[in-house]
Amino acid sequence: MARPTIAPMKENGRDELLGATEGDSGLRRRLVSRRDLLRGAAAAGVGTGLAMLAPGMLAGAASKFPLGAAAKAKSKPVQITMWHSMTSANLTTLTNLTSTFNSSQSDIKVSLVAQTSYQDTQTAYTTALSGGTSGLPDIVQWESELIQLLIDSQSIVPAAEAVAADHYSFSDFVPSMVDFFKVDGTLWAMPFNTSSQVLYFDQNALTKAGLDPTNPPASLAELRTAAQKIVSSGTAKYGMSLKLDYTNFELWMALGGNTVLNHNNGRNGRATAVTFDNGPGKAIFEWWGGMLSDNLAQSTSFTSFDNLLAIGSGIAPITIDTSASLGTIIQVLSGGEYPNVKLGVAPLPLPTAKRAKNGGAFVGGAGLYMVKKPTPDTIDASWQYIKFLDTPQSQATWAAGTGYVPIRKSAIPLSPLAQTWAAQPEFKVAYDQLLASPANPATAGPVTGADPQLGPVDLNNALQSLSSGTSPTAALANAASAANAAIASYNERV
Amino acid sequence: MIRRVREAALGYLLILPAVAAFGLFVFYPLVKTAYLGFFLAPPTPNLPSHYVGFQQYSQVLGSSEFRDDLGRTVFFVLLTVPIGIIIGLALANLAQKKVRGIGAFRTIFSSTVATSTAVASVVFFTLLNPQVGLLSYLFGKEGGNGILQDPSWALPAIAMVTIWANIGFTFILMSAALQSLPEDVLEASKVDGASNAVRFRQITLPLLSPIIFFAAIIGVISGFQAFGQIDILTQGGPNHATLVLIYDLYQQAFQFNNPGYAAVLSVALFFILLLLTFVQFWFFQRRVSYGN
Repeated sequence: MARPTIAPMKENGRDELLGATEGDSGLRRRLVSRRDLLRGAAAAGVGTGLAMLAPGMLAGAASKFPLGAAAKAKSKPVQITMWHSMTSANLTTLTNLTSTFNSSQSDIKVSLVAQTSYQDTQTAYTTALSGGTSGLPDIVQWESELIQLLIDSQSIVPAAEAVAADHYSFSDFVPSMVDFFKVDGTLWAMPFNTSSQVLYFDQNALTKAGLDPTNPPASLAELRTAAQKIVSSGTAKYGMSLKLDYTNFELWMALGGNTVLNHNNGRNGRATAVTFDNGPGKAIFEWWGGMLSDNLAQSTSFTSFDNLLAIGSGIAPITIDTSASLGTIIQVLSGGEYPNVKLGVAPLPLPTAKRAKNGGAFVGGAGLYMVKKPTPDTIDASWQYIKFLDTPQSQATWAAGTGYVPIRKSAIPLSPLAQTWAAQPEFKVAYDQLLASPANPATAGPVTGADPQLGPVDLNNALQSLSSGTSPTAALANAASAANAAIASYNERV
Repeated sequence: MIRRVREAALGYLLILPAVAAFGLFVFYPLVKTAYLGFFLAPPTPNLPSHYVGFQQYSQVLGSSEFRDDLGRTVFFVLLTVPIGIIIGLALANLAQKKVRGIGAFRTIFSSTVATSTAVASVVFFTLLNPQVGLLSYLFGKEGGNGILQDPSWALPAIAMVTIWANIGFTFILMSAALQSLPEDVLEASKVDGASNAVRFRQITLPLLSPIIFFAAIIGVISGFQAFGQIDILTQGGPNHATLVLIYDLYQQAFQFNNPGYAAVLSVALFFILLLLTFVQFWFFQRRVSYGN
């Protein structure tokens, strides 16, 4: 068996990693073992001979978009299904929008199929792919950060084809919400439900600690100072909760104008390595580690809402979480269980005191994808329905009913969104944050098929290890080497 | 002669449905899984696979990740199985006492058998929650890293949940066994003046050995397959502290979309359990007393 060499790793600028004496050797070995495995695969060289062929339909070449096929279909209405992962208030709003669409015309009838969570959608979709296109929906609502997996599945009609055929204009859209879905210059999905990370805090606690709640922390340094005041004044046990969420790290990289992955965040050619093991990445890890080791912040789990509960229970009055939770938070607070809490929402604090010129936030949430089916009329029907969901009026209804951020500017003055925002200006924070994002690869956000491993496992593990005493430098190096191995494994298999 | 052939044919015909179902849902997936391990699998099943022969097997099974997974799994089994059996046996012994109201205790002790893993996990998830959980306050761990977020305590905490959830089953097994013990032997030893402790060690325990053996096999197998509690409580974290073999397998297959890697782990798990079962059978043939 070939012994791993250092040479190929230097290409990715990670030679220092192998020389590092500190850190988790297990993670480094993972890097080596997977790489060795892949080399073995190449050496075997019989791969293509035994390869299972993709079903013909999915592998078909790009064709002209069948615009208008639904209206000309022989049997009408054209029936299409959409898989989604919306629950509670979000589901009600989506159902209402769909009924409005179905009753507004007679060519197309849309049925919604609930898949409970993005993870369930991913599992169901990839499983269905083994049986050709018959088990697939016509539209799938797919978590934004998993975009590369769906592109690689070769089962999607790029939204760009429909946009070109229909002369669809994005001039009214918030650019950062569209840019996320562009990979290698092609728009793959239409934005629909978008969100961003924001700062949540209890205004009363800030006042008690001698801080000004109308002027909340705007940078990581200010956040640390605020946490110190909260702890030293005895207002709360911790200044804030730091949820173990890699998204915050990735967003701070983007807000500083830095990419997370090479090849322009995977936007120009497939990413082959991470680019966060450097000065800006280290600064964020050092800040994070310092907050934990100085007991200014408590670490809370990725899969719970402990950080939000801690605002209610008074253990830690500040935290960062997705703007998509805002509706639920307001609902819980209005229940009267936490009479002393007065919620405040602010943009995600910047990694530096001064705003980086090319820095900005990228979107969370999901996009709508058209599935490459053999029937032109259902593909066109899917496009018509997605267009409906993205109209200013649909977006005003959607954003008001869910707390998601509207994706286009002309939705803002429309009812019912205008009224909702007038009553609850907190909802506007995430929108303004995404609106302020300049267009560049850093703010478009990272794209790699290895994302399910890179983020929730490799980066979160590294952030977790900060609370058990691993140095920020070593933790970051561990995350980088594990993530690079994950990316290499994915790229070799695709 | 013809009759015997006919009878045999009828016999085969009668077991055919069972064999067919078994073949379709057990043997076929088993062979297919082993086969899948020879390929670098694409992230979605409609794309081409790359044949790599035994490369993937040797790489995955020789990796430090696999050794770490296995170490954590064995540690988990060693925590759950003996403690679970000891507690179950102790409770069963207590519940043998003929006192008023013992029925209520028997119901309480066996009640966890009606609790699914998911329910038990959610209960403990709440109890151990560092912000609002009762147990976190009792241990003085409110706020900050809870027990489940602490890399050195997460796996023992999951073992505790597992032991608790399995107590009902072990208790019922042990109670049934205790009640079926031959009274004459126990009485004879009493007449001979054996103390309670001696009687338990010399007579009850050997007579119980088949059921203890059975509980151990079931415990080891279910310990190797413990998934629900880990998925609900820690998802393999913090920092891989609860990443046992079966959870790594799940992550590789369903989260990282790497079914080839998962297939190798799954074949390894199969052979480990097969081996353990053989070892345990070998042990029981020599050590376990069936009373004759």
